[in-house]
Formats: sequence, structure tokens, C-alpha cells
Amino acid sequence: MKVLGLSFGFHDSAAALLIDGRIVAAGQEERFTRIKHDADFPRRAIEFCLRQASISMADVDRVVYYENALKKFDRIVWASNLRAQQKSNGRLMGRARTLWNAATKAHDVPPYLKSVTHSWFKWQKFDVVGKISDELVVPREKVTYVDHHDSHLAAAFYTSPFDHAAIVTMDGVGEYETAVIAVGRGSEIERKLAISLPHSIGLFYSAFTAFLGFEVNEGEYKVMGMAAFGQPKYYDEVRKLITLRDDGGFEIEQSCFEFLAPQMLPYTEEFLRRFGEPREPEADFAVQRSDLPEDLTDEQADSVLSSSRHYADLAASVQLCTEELILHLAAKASVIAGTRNVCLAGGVALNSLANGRLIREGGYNLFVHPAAGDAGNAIGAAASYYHRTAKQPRMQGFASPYLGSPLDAAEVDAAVAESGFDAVTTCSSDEELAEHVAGLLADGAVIGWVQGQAEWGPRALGGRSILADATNPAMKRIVNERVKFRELFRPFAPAVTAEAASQYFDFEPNLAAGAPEYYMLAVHPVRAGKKSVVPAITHADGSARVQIVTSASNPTFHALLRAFERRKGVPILMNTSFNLRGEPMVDSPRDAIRTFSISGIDYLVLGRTVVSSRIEL
Amino acid sequence: MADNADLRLDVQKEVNRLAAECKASGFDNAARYLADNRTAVVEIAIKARLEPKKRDLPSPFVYSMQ
Repeated sequence: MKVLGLSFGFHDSAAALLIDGRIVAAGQEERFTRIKHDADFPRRAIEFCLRQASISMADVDRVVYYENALKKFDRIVWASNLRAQQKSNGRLMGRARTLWNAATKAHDVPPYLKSVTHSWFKWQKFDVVGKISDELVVPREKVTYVDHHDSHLAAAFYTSPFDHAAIVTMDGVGEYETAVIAVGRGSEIERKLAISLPHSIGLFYSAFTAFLGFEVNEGEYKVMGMAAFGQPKYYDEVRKLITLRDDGGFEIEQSCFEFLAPQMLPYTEEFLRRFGEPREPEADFAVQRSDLPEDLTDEQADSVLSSSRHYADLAASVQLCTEELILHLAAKASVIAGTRNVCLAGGVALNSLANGRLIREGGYNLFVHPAAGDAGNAIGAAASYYHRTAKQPRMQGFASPYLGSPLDAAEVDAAVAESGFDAVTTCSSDEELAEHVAGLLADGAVIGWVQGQAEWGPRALGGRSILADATNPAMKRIVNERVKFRELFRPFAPAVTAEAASQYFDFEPNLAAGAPEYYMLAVHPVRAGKKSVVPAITHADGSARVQIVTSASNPTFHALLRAFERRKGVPILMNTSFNLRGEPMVDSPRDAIRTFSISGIDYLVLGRTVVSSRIEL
Repeated sequence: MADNADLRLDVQKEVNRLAAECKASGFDNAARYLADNRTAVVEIAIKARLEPKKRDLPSPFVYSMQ
């Protein structure tokens, strides 16, 4: 049975193809169109999936969309009505309220609903089945959909290595639901508890993300990064906003948030009264005078340092409260399911600080779907249909996160030839490549590393990575200045051989398939004696978001780490995504050449071809 | 004019179909909204259909909820 799963229309469009219970291909539209978070219909991703399987749309048995559009619209109307009612109840009393309700009942479309209705007609969101049928030229009967959190549940459990597990999904909002606890057994998923709007941990975190001056759906990682510079001084104030219920659920205090019918910002005047002025986007952030430009006066510098500390303290407080809530959900789910196996999905599952605590403090056998956000629902929708509707036997677990575009040797040759770069070395084996590139890294080079198939999910895992020497204290600044142009408070992550991971990081690596560290989805402390050994990947609080690599999970990358160890004594490289700021990760050799040519990367490695940025004279 | 009349007819049919589908699916909030505001919704839909397909997104927070 061939099932094509689709996620599009909101953010992070993607397609995934499941054939007889095996994920054959999965790709995010942004990688092909080069538009970050592209939400459009995933034409290019679908073409890629079909090409990978050498089939056409006529061969596909079912196309499955990742949510129920009309149910979502029902929620939008419900939320808008509730918000209007709350507002009118606040203003009017008794008979006046009854008259107001009657007068407004049928005649006025509130501005929020008007704008949503307009957008939904414009982008054909009401008839998503018709849109898919039109776009792919397939009969409507071939197209179906599953609920948003059912997609997340399926992405979390069916791709995990577990036959029995607790499942927790957490995001902003799907149709009505924002979090679900369920139990997975074999090919069955049984829901146990659902949390619905207006209570949402995803929207809660996003509201603080916006308040801290970052873009929602993009800047949540930055809140995590900033938290490391602060102390949770506002814990009590933030914690008051969350009620953890005994049944495993939670509630969010609503007076501070606008989650029902937001016009622009997700927080209220009451929020500002409690937490002060929001941070200006792109405002300077520094925790020491030396991080600031020398031409600032002492007064200006003090002001930046003071406000940076304030916002970092708030970020630390929000992060701590969020971790507490996630630990609460996982604990209850584990008790309900009667197992320490826990599967996570939904955008909140990308909170790698919380994932680290679930592993170390909770003692859970954790699986997090690598594309935990809505892109992952392309796989989730297909998997949910495959098991829960078509009643097929349990699909294979997630064997590899490298499900995207393969590296085509002919394309590499053509892209290099077109590029005009003439300092090119071709290695004859992977061993020779590893030795050669390890030498360049040890000499301080920044490397663009493109190998095999592209990664599924937001993390670069040695398929489309920028690599550098983790032992060089200046490397974070070098990579930032030459290519990433990121805020200085954001950390860079390490890739480490699995066999050496516990020597450097304070956790016992679980080498079973599917462990979050294979996908760089958990943060762990760097061991006390090792922080100065790998300063480029040690964050301000002494932690690192670790990727473990084995000779089975990524042989070429593993060989490179071992070769680097032979030179520098440390099997760890700085590993960050191969992209410029504001762009999606590179996908094709041409994307890589383009980014290479306009950045300060020293060498580009495409398969066994090594291109130097230096001009040969 | 003929094109606009056809569009209006199409949109009216679509709104009726949507309202019926919502009702049949138990999505009472959406069904009631579409039925009670049929005329306004038809006008909104016609305007949306006639507009060029250019992305004019609200804030990311709002967009992520819609």
C-alpha cells in the first residue's frame, strides 16, 4: 500500500511517502523552494517523494492531509464567539447584555472572523480535499484527512522503536487540541487525555517568545539559548500562570494571554503589567562589557547589560516552568501507560532542554520524532491512515533521519564545473576523505559538509552541515562572522562519536535506535573537566545539545570524527546547519555552492569532492 | 459581468455546501456562522477569489493558529 502524507497551508509544508509500512522518502518544501518555513502546497516535496520511489501519482493508493480543516474552522468560530462574549460580558450587565447579544448575533461578522474567512477562501483551506485533488489530478475519493493531534500521535509512536509506549503530543493548537496523552501498543493508539484551547503550552511559550523580541515559530530556540544566561528570578511570577492538574492536564491563566482570537500580539495589558516592556526585536544582548561595541558609553553599556540580564532571567524562568509542565505530562502519561517508554511529538517536543531532563531525571526511554513540528505530520498523517484506518500491521520504526534529497554525483560534477571554483580535490575513498577533511578541520578550516541524503527535521546531522573544530575557543565567533551571522547568545552544537560521548557529556548514551541524541534533540551538561576542552560547543550554562554518531548511524561522518580525534585527541566537531541566516538548509549541490560562494566557508565537501574557496594562482 | 455572476453562483453553492457539511459533521459553530452570515460570507469569498494570490500574512502568531 502506498500512502502519501501531506502537511501544508499553515507553516512548514512537507510530503512523505509510506510504501508497505516503510518510509521511502520525506521532504520539507522549504528545502526545494528555498523559502524558509514555506507553507504553500508542497509540489516539489511531492515530486521528490515520487521520484525517490520511481512511481507516479497514479500508483499512490491514498493521499492523507494532516488535519481536519472544517473542525479547525469550527474552533476558530467558537474561539471568536467566546472572545466576543467575554468582552461584552465585561462591558455590559443584565438586560443590556441580552440586548447586545441579540443585536450582534446574526448581523455583524467580527473583524477577526472576517479576516480568517477571507484568508480561508483565498487559499482554498475550506476544501482542502478539493485542493489536493485539483493539484495532484487525482479523484477526491483518493484523498482523506486525519486530525492534527492524531497525526502527531502517529508520528511520535509508529516511527519509534517501541511496541508499547506512553505518547505525549504538545503544540500551539491543532483543531481544538493543544496536547494529548495516549498509549500506544502495537499498531493501536488509545487516547487518554486531551487539553484544548485556550490552554496551550505551545502558545504560552510562543507568547513569551514574541515578548522577548523573537519571531514566533522561529525564535523559540533563541529563548532556550537566552535562558542559559539568566537565573529563574521570575519563576514564581511565571509559574502562577500555570496550573498542573492531578489528572496530568494543565491550565494556563488567561488574563495575560490572547489565545482565542488574536489580532496581532498574543499577550495582554495584564501581561505587560506583570512583566514590563517587551524586548525590542534585534535589540543588543550582552552579559559582559567585552561583548559590546567599544564606542558605547558606560551608561549605554550598563543599560544594555541590565536589560539583557532582565530578559535572560525571564527566559530562564519561562524555560524552567515549561520543563516542569513537560515533566508533569510525561510522568502522568508514563503512569497511565505503565511503561517508561515515552514518545513525543508536536513543536514543543523540540524543547531539547526539557528532553534532556526527561532522559536524565525522569529516567525515560525517550523517542522524539525528529521533525516533531507540523512538517513531521506528513509522516504522521500517512502512518495514522495506514494503521488506524487501513488496519495494516505495524510499520517499521525510524531507521534513519536521512530521508531527503540524495547527493547525485553527476549533479555534483555539473555544479562544481559551473561554479568556476577550480581548486578541487577528489578523494578516492571515504577513508581518504575523512583523513583529508579532518586535517583541514584541525588546521582551523570551516567546512561545508554535504553527504548522502538530506536530513528530515530541523537539525543538521552530518548530511547538510557546517563543521568546525570544537576545541578552538574562537570558533564560535569565526563561524558566526563568516557564515551564520547569528545572535551571539545562541550556542553551537557538537557531534560526538557515541563511544566517547559519556567521557565528555554527563549522560549515559542509549545506543538503541531512535534515542533523541541521534537526532540532536536533547541537551546535556558538558562534564566539568571537559568544558575548557571543547569551548566552542559549551554553552554559557555549561550544556550542549549533543548529537551522537555511530558507524551504523552515519559511517562517513563517524569516520571523520574518528580521524579528527587522531589529530586533536577529541572526537567532537562543532556541527551547525548548512545555511545562511534566514534561509533553509541547503539541499542540492547547487544550493551548497551558492551558499559556499557568498559565505566565509573555507572548503565545501560534496561527497568525495572537496572544493576550496582559495583561488589557485 | 457574466463571469462575476458565475462566480457568485459558484460561491453561493460552496457556502451552502460548507454549511451543510459542517452541520452534518457536528461542527455547529461553523455551521451556524456560515448559515447566519451567508450573505456576508458570500461577499467575503467573492472578494477573496478575485484578489491576486499574494501572501499577506498576519503576524506569525496569528497565522500559526489559523
